[in-house]
Amino acid sequence: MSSYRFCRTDDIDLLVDALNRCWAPHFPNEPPMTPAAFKRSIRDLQVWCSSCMVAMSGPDPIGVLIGAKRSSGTLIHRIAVHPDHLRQGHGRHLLTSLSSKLAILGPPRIVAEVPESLAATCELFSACGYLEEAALTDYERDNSQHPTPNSQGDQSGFVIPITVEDLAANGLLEEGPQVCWERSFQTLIARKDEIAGRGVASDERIEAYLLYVRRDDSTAEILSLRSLVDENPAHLHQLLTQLTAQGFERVIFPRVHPEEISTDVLEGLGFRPSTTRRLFAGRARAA
Amino acid sequence: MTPAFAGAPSRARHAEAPAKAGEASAEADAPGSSSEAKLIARDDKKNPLVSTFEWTSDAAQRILRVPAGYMRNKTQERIEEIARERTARTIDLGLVEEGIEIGKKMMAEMIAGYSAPGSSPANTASAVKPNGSGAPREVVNGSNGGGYLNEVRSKHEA
Repeated sequence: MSSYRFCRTDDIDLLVDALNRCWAPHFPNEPPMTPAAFKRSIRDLQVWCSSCMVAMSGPDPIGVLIGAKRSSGTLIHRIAVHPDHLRQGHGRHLLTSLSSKLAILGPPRIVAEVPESLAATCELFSACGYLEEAALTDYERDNSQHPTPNSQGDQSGFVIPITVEDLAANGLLEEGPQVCWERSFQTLIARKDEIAGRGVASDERIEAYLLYVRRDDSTAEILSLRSLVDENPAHLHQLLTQLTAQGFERVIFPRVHPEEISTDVLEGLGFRPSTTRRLFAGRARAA
Repeated sequence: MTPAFAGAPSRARHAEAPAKAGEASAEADAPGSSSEAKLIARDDKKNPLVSTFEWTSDAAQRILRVPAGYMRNKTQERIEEIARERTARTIDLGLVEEGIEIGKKMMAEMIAGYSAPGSSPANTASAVKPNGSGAPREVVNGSNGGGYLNEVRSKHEA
């Protein structure tokens, strides 16, 4: 007999256990979840234990849903059912239970960013009434194909180090195009101490900026890439050149929303699409 | 604070003091160094302009148009350095514009230095420090974060 329950802040150990039992078998290459990593997701992504659920069979977790909540909506960050309990309606029950709760407490918008390769999960969201709003594309840039130029070319601004706090001080962080949950301004603020940045500035404004983290010795992950002057590719190219010069052989720009930056600009800068996620969105409703 | 009179009694009092003490006193009396930093103004995002100098209103408004953060901090440092060298107690609009123009000139020189044949990243990773007249005076290395970054540095920048 199965039971379901919403969690509390003192259920972190249960949620970690549930993720390792139910999520990990589907993604054996990912490191196991730990309480520290879970707490980091609370800080960085605004995971709320009260928006998390566990399905139990006796004493054992057989399903888990991890929800993150902001005023704009709730993200289904992870949802997984143990391989031995698939196709028994647990996933649907977890989703509809959270939806019922949010119909009362809000916020009403619920989203999920599901890898296109996970066909069954995409089907689950579609079957539960979620609509695909957009495709979020992972882009990659091989910097060896774009060596550091000998001439700086078109440079009309100063390239300066820039921080998340600098952007916030100039009111640039909260305004802007739609981005994925993990690169939203709330996450950038939470991760500000580990984020580096470069900007192109004139004496009166910041014209473009790039925020990134070091993934490993050779890879930089872009968290934000924006031109505030008509998507000026020259400025963006100038900023990417900085990453090449720092020794990053590869740059990844994950989960790019089509409204964030145009495909033409990205491809003109040397980015190539790799994997895609589907952005599903639904409204909370009573069961 | 009354800048016009600050320090005058001190100089008179220590006129016959040993040289070292006299130097210390003069340094303490230098514009912008002896007084405490105070809030001059805020921009529309509420970012404060804090300085030990007096600023005219239009000068404060002009520097508050420079993007907050690194860019504004560096510009303010440059302007205050010029003011200090000229023993100016009040920063006016002209001084601000001059500081901004020096910054632009530094930038142009760095880009030109980079593009010049045979220039090395080490040479271009530098900034030109202004002297009192506003003309470039000496080259300081920008690797401490003080320079702009249009130059391309060596790999694995700190």
